[in-house]
Parts: sequence; structure tokens; C-alpha cells
Amino acid sequence: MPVLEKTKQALFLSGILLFASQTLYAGTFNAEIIAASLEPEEQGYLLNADINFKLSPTAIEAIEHSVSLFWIVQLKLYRPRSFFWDKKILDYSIRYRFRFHALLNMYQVENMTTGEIRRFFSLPVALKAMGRIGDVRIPTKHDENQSKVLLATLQVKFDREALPLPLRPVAYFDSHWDLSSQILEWLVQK
Amino acid sequence: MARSKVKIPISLLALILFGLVLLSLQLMSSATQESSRLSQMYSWLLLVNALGVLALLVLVGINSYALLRQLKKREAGSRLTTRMVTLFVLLTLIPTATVYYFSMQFLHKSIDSWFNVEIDRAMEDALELSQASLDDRMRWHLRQTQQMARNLKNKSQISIILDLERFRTELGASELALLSRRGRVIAFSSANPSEILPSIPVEQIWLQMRKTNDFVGLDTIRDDEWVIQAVVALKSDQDQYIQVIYPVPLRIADLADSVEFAFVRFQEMTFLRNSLKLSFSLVLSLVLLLSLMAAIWVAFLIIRDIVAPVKELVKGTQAVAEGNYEQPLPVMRQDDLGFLVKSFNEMMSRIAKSRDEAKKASQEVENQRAYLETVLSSLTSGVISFDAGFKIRTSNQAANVILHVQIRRFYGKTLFDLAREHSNLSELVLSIQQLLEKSDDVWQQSITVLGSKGRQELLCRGTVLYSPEGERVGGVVVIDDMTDLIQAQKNAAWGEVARRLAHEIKNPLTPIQLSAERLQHKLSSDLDEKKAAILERSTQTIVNQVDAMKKMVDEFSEYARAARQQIENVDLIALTKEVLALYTLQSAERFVVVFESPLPKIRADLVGLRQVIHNLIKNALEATANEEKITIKLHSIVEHNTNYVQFSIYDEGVGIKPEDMDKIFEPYVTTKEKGTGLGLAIVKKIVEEHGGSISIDREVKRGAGFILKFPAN
Repeated sequence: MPVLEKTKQALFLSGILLFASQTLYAGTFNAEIIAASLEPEEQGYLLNADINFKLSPTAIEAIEHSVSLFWIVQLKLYRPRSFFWDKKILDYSIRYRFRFHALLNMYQVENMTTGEIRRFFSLPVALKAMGRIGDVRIPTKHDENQSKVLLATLQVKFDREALPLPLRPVAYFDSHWDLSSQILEWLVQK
Repeated sequence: MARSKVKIPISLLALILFGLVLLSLQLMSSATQESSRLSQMYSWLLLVNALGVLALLVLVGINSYALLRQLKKREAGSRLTTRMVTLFVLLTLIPTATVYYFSMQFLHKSIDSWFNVEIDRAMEDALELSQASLDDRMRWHLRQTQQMARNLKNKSQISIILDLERFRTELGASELALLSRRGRVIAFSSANPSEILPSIPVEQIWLQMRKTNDFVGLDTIRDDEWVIQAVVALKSDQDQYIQVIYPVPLRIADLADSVEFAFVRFQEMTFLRNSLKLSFSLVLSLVLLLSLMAAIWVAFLIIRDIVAPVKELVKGTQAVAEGNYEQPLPVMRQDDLGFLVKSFNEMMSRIAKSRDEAKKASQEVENQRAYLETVLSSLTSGVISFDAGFKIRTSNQAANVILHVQIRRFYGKTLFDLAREHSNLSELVLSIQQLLEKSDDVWQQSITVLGSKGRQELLCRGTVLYSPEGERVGGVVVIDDMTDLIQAQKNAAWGEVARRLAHEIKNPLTPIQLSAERLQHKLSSDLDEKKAAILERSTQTIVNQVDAMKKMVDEFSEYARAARQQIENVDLIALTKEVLALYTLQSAERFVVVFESPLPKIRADLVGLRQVIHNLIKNALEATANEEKITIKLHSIVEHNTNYVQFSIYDEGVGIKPEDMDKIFEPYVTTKEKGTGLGLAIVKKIVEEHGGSISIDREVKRGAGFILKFPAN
């Protein structure tokens, strides 16, 4: 299968190049995906990722004023095709809510997908905890497991539409609210 | 197939537009409420409204640009539209801008008034109070737990496990668990029997436990139910811990929630203070712009609709100015402007009708004029009309022929101008001018003109033309050429004289001659020689003179003889040669004949024509001396689209005196000592009987020349 091998190599190389370029041109306050991996298992995949959330002063000020911020960690899996667009076979999201709990005087990270709530006394610790995604089991359908090589993309999206109403129009034009990450792509072999 | 276009009324269009604008603004207004479902669509609604404003701005821009172009081209109705649009925009803009300005002021001040230091401090104090209250409760529960841990310290693990339920009840806790290090559950008791596992302390609690051997904290479980979690080390050496979950009373939890919610909202609002101002200003500005642009656009449509009939009217008046009355204007409405358009159409129709009638009348006048002109042109009399200043206005063809002048060239000029160029007409022109100026009624006068074609007897009749008001507006002169008529009268008179002479004189001549000869015969023998000689001379004289008289009478009778012609095709060259043959014996070298061959034949009486040639040659011979030449020319010519054979004869004799030229063809006119003066008269008579003409060649410098023209066969 020399053609497939070449394709895989090309995809991997392009993934590295894209990642490098994204890292180079990453904005000052963007979320940054430091590392990500998708380990195949019998019924799906185990997602591990290390994300560095860099908040702008405006975002920190908003949190200090009890404004809830929302991020979505979005994983997509594509089956590469030679003469057509890659076919999307998986779209999995984890939604996080980050807020300061005034009564408890703690930072609260809520995984809205699982309902898990964690509270931390310090902001960096809370952000670090939110950025560490460990062994998240992602179930897939049977036919999605047939492909040997898949293209995985991971992106952290800041949900501007979940901001309080008056902030939304501003958030689209203020770089302080550009808190999403670039898309990370890599090849997954089963 | 005609394409039909469904036109939506502008009022309906405006209503729909304003309905859409209001709906969009209402949706956006609702979306600004956080609780509204539409809040999810806030950004989209904002975008849609902004795009709406942009679209309306583009529409207004396009309309304004089109209006400016119309204004530049000075199109009909453009200035009125501009004035109305400007007025409308001003009337809309001034109150709207005022309301907008004060609304913004009010909005900003209102938002600022929400926040002040006292409220901020009160909110913080309330939160602190809540926290202090909960802290007290936590410390109390911690002391309870520590007390229980001290009590359990000396008891065996088995007895602790057995009495766990009792301890939990005594403490009033919802859950009591005995844990080993790292959260392994040794035993647990819960107020809720359905729970099979206790809440496990998180990593952070264990970290704190390492430092202080105990932990107390506030947490939420199951549907945000507030609980106090207390963890205390039971036996440090065996790494055993006791965790107690105390419920927070519902009232306290509600109050704490309420305070926290209010604090969070206030904090959020404080942070959003400027964004709120911006957001509300944005919405207000969008509302203003959307309403304003929609209003201006609809104003454009309405004003265009109002101005349309005016535009049509302007176009209609322009069309009328260009003479186009046929296109009626469309009546687009039933109001005053519609009535105006209807009236305009009616007016145009009436004008068109009047114009058609005038055109018809003018056509009739023109036809009459053309008819009159045709009549005038076909008249043999020359007609010249004059205006009040005696300038020539019109003339007919006959006038040109009679006067041998193209009178059309002198239209607008006076008769003096005509006389200046044609001096031979000066006498005629001056007479007419004088008669026109002086006479107030119809006048008539015969005037003789000596023109290039000879003497002309003209009979002029004139009259003055008056307007219906009695003003002198010009005159008209009718000229008849009487030359031919007078000539014909003269010829007829001479013919009558000749007939009488033949009848009255010739009859007695024979008896006279016979009587003289009888006298000679009877008396000569009776007389002596001398007397006999006298008698013979006398009788001979009588006989000779009677012969001469007979000859003269014969010639007269020949002149008066009625034409007895035998018409046949005659070759004029052959005939000329035949006649000349009789003379060439005497003087052949004197004749020069020039002819064109072949020459068309003519229809003529051979005898008559022979006499003509004889007479002319004889005439020429008699007029010339021995050495002088006689030239005969024969040619074919075309005159007035008719072919003629021209016979001309020239001699080098004494010629004809100018004063005799006009009467040379009359009987008894001769320049010779001998001769009856009937030769040329007979020639002219015969030539005219053949439909030909004879004239003197006036351009001959030496001798005389006659030109005869016969119609070619």
C-alpha cells in the first residue's frame, strides 16, 4: 500500500506544518493546545489533551465580576478521501463553564457535558485544571472504527454567544475576547 | 403577448416595510432581555437589522444618486422631487435627531444612576454576612465533628462501625463515613437509604488535611443542595478519618443563594456598565437609522408617485411645444392631479382638433392656390401680380414667354429692377408702373415693344387689388401678345384686297387688251406711216401695261388663292438641287449649298414648296450683284422637343434696312425698284400653311438672311 503510506506521511507532515504555523501565529490571549492525543480502544477513543488557557485582562476582570465564561472543546474525526472532501465521522464536544463563586470565594469549573463541578481557590490552578483533559472516553459507532487512518482535529472555541447580552457585539470586535484556539490536526492510526 | 406587470400600491408597500421594521425592532428589543428566548438570537438580530440599515442606506443612496443625475440633466419633475425630498428629510431629521439626543442623554444618566458606592458596599456587606453566617455554622459543625472524633478515638473499629448510624443521628448529619487514607470507605451511614456510596473528599481536601488534620467546607450535592462537609482525622497512626456531611437549613441556603445571586448580578452589571451603554446606544441608533432610512426610502417612493403626473404633464407640454398632440397622458390617479391630467388631455385633444381643421383649411387654400396657378400657367395671357410696394410677387409662364424674361428672378424686386436689366422692356415697365400707381380702377393700354424677337404689340390690362378693409394691397397686370392677331388681321385684309383686285381689275383687262389690238388691227392700215407708228407704239404700250397689270393681278390672285395642297414626303435637299439646276446654267459659281445628310423628310406640298425656293432664290439673285455669293444651308434642329428641318438662305447684297425688317413679309413691301412686294408675303403664307415659320436672321452683318423651319416628318 505505497499510495496510502505516502498519503499518511503527507497528512502527518501537513498536520505538523499547520500546527507549527498555528503556534507561531497564535494570538496573545488565545487558548493554546499544547498537546493532544487520541488513543484507540475497543469501543472508541481515549482523548487526552493539555490546553493552556491564556485569559486577557478583560476576561479576568469579567470573571472577577462573576461573569461566567464558556468554552467548547470540539473534537472531530475525518476519514481521508483521495478525490473528495474528507468524510466527517465524529463530532464530539465538551462544554466548560468557568466562573467565580462569590459565596465560596472560589473559581468553579463546570464540565457541562458530564455535570462535574470542581472549585479552586486560585485562578491559574482552576484554568490549569480546566485545560487538562485526561482519559475522556469517546464512544464511536462500529463503522467509524473500520478506517485504519483517520484525521483528528481539536479546537477550543470560546462561546461569545454565552456572554451577557451587552457584551456580545463588543466581543466580536475586541481581540480581548478572541479566546479560541487554532485547530490542531493530526493523524490517528488504529 | 403583452407582458402584464402587477404593481403593488405604494401605501401597501410602505405599510409592509414599516411592519417589517417594527417587527425586527421588536424582536431586537425583546432579545435584549436576558430571560427571553430571543436572547440567543440577539447577535443575529443585530446583524440582520444592521444589514437592513445598510440595504436601506444603499436604496436611499441609489435614489439620491438617480435624483442628482435627473437634476443634472434637468429632467422634468426633478427639481420638484428634490425640494419635496429635502423638505421631508429635514422635517423627519430634526425631531428624530432631537429625540435621539435626549434619549441618549437619558439612557446614559439612567444607567449611571443604577450604580453608586452605597449599593456596592451594601451588596458586599450582605455577601460577607452570608459568608460569616455560613462560616459560623461550619466552625460549629467542625467542633461537633472534632468532639465526636475525640470520643471515638479509644473505641475499636468494629464498635465504631456498629454505632455509626447512631452517631450520625446524634449529630443530625445526613451522611457519616469512616474513611481510610486516599478515600477508601471503611464504613458509612446515610440518611438517604438509596445511597450506597458516600461522597469522597477531593484531592484538595486531602492536601489540606495533611497540614491541619481537619477540613470543613461548603459544597453542593444533588440539585444544588447546600451541605457542610467536615473531615477530621480519627486515629492518625492508623490513617483513619471521619467525614460528616451536614445539611444546611433550607432557609439559610435560600437566603445565601439569594444574596449570592444578587451580588453576582450586581457585579456583572458593574462590569457591563459601559457595555450596557454601548449596547443600548447601538440598539437605539439602529432603531433610529432603520426608521429614518425606511421613512426616507418610502418618501422617495411616495414623492415619485406624487410627482409622476407632474412629470407627465411637463413631458406633455414639451410634446405640445414640439407640435405633438396625439399622445394622451396616462391618468394614474383619481385625485386633483388626475383631474389636471384629464383636463390637459382634453385641452390637447381640442388643440389637435383645431390644428387639424386649420391644416385642412390651409390645405384647401393651398389647393386653391395650386389650381389658380395651374389656370394661370395654362393661360396664354401673361399675368404678373404686385404687392403694395409694387414689387413683383407672382407671374405665370405665359408672361415669361411674352416678355422673353424669367420673371421669377425678379420676385420681391420692383419693375425698375427688371427694366434696368432689360432695357428693351423699359418703356413697357415704366408705363405699367405709372398706371399701377395712378389708376384706382381697371385700366387697359396697348404698348409696342421692340424686343430681340422683333416688334411686339402688347395689350396690357391692369387692376388694383384691395383688402377686405379697403386697403391697397397690390395689383395685377394681364399682358396679351397681339402681334400675331394684328398680323393675321392684316393678312386677311390683304387677301380681301387681292381677291377684289382679281375680280374687279382682271376682268376688264382682257377687253382692254383686245380693244387695243383691234384698234391696231383695224386702224393701222388706214393711217399714214407716222400715225400708224404712233398707234402701234400706243397700242403696244396699252398691251404691255395690261400684261403687266395682268401679271400683277395674277400674283395677287396667287397670294389670295386658297391653298390646294397635295401633301407628300418631300426631300428638301433634292428639291433645292432641282430648283437650283434652273439657275446654275446662268451663274453656277455664285451658289454655295451646305447640307446635312441624311436630312429628315418633311410633309409638304411639292408645288408650293418649289415656289418658296424659287421666290427666295430669285429674291437673292435680284438683291445681289454678279460676283456676290448666295449660300443655302440645310440642317436638322431640335426646338421645344420638336425636330425641325431648317432651310436658310444668305446673300451678300444690300440687305434689309432695320426699319423694314418688321414689315418685310407684308404685301406691297419691297426694297427693289421693280416688283410687286408680294414675293416674300407669298413665301411666308406658304411656309405658315405648312406649319413652319420664316424669320430674318438679324445677326447677319452683310446682306440678308432668311431662316425657314419646317416640322420634320
